[in-house]
Amino acid sequence: MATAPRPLAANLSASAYPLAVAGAAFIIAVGLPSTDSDTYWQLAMGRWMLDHHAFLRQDIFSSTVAGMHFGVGEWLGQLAFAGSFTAAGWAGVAVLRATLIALAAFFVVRLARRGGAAWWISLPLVAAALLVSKITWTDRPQLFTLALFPALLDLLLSLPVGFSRRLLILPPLFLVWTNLHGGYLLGLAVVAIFAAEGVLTKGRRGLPLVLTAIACVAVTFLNPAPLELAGAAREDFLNPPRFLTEFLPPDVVTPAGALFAGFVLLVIGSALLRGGSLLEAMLLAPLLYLAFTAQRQMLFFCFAATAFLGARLTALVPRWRGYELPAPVRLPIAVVLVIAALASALAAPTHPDERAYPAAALDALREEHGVLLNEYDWGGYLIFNLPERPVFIDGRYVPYLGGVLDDYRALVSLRPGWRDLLDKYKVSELLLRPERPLAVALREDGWRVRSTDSAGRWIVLARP
Amino acid sequence: MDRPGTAVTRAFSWSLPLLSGGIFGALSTLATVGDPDLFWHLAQGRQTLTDGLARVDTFSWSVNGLPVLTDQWLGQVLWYEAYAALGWNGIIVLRAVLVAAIVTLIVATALHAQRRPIVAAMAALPAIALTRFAWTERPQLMGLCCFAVLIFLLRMSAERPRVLIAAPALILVWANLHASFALGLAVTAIACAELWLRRPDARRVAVGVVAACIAVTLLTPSGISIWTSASGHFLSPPRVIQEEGVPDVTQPYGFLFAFIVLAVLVTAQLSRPAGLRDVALLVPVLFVSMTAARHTPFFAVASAPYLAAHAPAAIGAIAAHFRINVRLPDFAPRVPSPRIDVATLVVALAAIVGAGLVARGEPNLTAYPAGALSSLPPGPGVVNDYDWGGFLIWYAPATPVFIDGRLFPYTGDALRDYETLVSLGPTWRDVLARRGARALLVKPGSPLAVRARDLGWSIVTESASYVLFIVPNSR
Repeated sequence: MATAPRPLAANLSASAYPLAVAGAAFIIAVGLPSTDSDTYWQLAMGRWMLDHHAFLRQDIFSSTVAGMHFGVGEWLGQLAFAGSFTAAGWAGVAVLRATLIALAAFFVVRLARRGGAAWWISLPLVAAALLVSKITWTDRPQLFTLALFPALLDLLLSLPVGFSRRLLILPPLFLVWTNLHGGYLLGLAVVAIFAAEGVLTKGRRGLPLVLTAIACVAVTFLNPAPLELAGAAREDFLNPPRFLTEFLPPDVVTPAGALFAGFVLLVIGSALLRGGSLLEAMLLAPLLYLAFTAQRQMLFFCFAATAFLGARLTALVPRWRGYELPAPVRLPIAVVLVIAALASALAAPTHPDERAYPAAALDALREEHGVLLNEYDWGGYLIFNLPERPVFIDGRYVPYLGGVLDDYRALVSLRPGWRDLLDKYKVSELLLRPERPLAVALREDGWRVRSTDSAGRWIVLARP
Repeated sequence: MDRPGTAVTRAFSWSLPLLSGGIFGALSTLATVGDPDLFWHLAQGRQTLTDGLARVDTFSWSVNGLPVLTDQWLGQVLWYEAYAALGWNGIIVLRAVLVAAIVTLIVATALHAQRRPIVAAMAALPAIALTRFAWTERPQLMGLCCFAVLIFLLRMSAERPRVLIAAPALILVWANLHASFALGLAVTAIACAELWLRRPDARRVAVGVVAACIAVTLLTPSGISIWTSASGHFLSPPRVIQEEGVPDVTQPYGFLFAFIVLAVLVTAQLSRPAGLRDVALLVPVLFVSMTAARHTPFFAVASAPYLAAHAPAAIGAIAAHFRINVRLPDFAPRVPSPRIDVATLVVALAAIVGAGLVARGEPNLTAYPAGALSSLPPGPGVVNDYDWGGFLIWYAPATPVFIDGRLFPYTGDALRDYETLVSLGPTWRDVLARRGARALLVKPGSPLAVRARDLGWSIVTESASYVLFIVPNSR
């Protein structure tokens, strides 16, 4: 049955909560300086593509895998960040980040409000879900997945049975997403789940979504390197690199882990009391498994859980169900927050937070030209700030699998054979944390201390 | 598919649980003895029996004379008594009996919730499989056994609240066996709160049981400090220890744990709503299980009866969507007579004890530096690998350890110094000198061993798994 178009005021009123929370999220997110190491190499790749009007298909940043073929699957995401940087410097990056987080917040609120969930129940859920997602509030293409995942869920959950023109949004959405970030695979899986559930519960009326899902899969091949992204995602899923914090399993004694555990317990506890649905089971079970694989995946379960928890928790307290802020209150709040968000963009930080990086070592490093062995976490920073010195390793991670990464770990951990590896790579200088066993051993062996941090965060050593 | 009731207990037989326990108990004897912590538990148990309960360390040279935990004294004594009676086969027999008890209780609790034996056994299997990772020769296996008893009691108490009167006695024993009693106390309190809400006639019992349970936890040699050890462990798990790490689904145990959690999630979504009792038992235990790998079996044990009762309905709901009409056979299971139960018990015990006695008793020492024992210098001064501390306490009592699996006595300076040494921190030479280290017994691949070899330190003995260095210029 067709519904009559709603007047603007009604639409605004209905969107007041999402807009208000999105505005608040923007204000918080835009004030955060860039800190992530991977931001730098993503920007460097995007900048190279902008400068050369071509895809960057091989490594040009390292001394260890130079010339090796390298995936370009996230080229559009890298271009978006590099474009923002070119347009407005680090403030541009912050505004793009805040915009994507605000978009995520907007759709998560819509999810949490489904089924008439009370605002005072949905708001804490949204806040908790966004806090869980904070681990991914880094200036990288994965922010696009942060925004697109709840948007996709919101779209799928609001689809009517059978054909809808809104289905036509999905293929273009995936065409863009697949060029932005590898998280599109998760989106495809979600569409497949909805399609399967539609066929199981609605029979033939579920077929339009099945056909749309097939079209979505087809368009994901319109990518310069369609299979590479899938391969990297599979590697992350089956063999997550546990030495990276974001790939560690969820730890419930950390704040984000505790919130995630809260979601798990709420979902299971409330389902035990009230039951659920086939769709909820089909959606949340795989997302929960995904969340168990790595901390960076927790947010997807939490975002999806809000779509079911809000209404179910509200049903548990029916007496308070009807309490809502009146429109004359919530609309002005939303308008004020949106205006404040727009204004806050002017206060976006114009410099990244470099306290975690060896910024003061750059001058010393510029004076030499030999092979530099650098700390993994600082590779991206060096790529961006010291392009004349190829890195040994950096956060791109995948090109270093199967050799260089193992050698790097053997070197810095002083495993047997480390001297041979130093010679194999002809390392002449290293930039490491001073407490690394390799740094300790080489200092004892007489390597020259070319530069060191007064706070003991880094040291530059050169062959004697 | 029909939907079974939460508790159909017109008649109950222990035959299937005992049979299952006997089978898995006997199978457990195939595993050799060799847990790193077994050895220091045995040493402490022997010390308690011969010299009385030691409240300060006597096994190390790094924290010698400093306070140690006494919270597992009874478990240690029991393990040592088993060893004293039957040698290493005694350890295997005791472990098999505990495994059999745990399996018996898991299946019995499932059977209590689901009268169809095959369904109950199927629902219990994931839990049994996950407890496999806790079948170690340590007091924590006794703690897991106590937990299984508690879950059985709490499930029974849904209909007969007076069953809860046994809980304080259980907690009393548990508090002297292992620190996991704190989980038992918390779950008991939550279950009693649920009972208080649901059964006004049982409120006095609920309050009394909780008060008695709290009181009996003080009846241990540790007194009130037993609470600090339990809470410290829970709130700040030492992640450097593998079993204290976060549950990892890329490992077999983690995958199994995730499977059970997902099974509960899907079952809760698709079967009819459960009672508050299920929420009270499952939700807190799930949180605890998510804190550390070693805690994952708790949720598996707690969830087995829920899955037994409700998973068939969930499977039926899924099957219905595929137009498959699944029906469990509608029959009245024949309940064996008590004589069959007794016979099964006797056979199961005979199988366990027999298998335990004929099992290979000698510990598997391939992971330990057994070849270095004769070369170890007596007296203090040997810096040893953490994993080998317990082994050295038992096999080389003349050479006190630098560190071992007891961990908590070492938190602070000793642990920091150990980490500095093995990871070759910038001050590693200062630590060696300050501590007066004379020798290093470490793994060849550790940075400390690599560095010592680089520096040409004298090697007393070595193999592919260990190396013993003499520290130059040491006293």
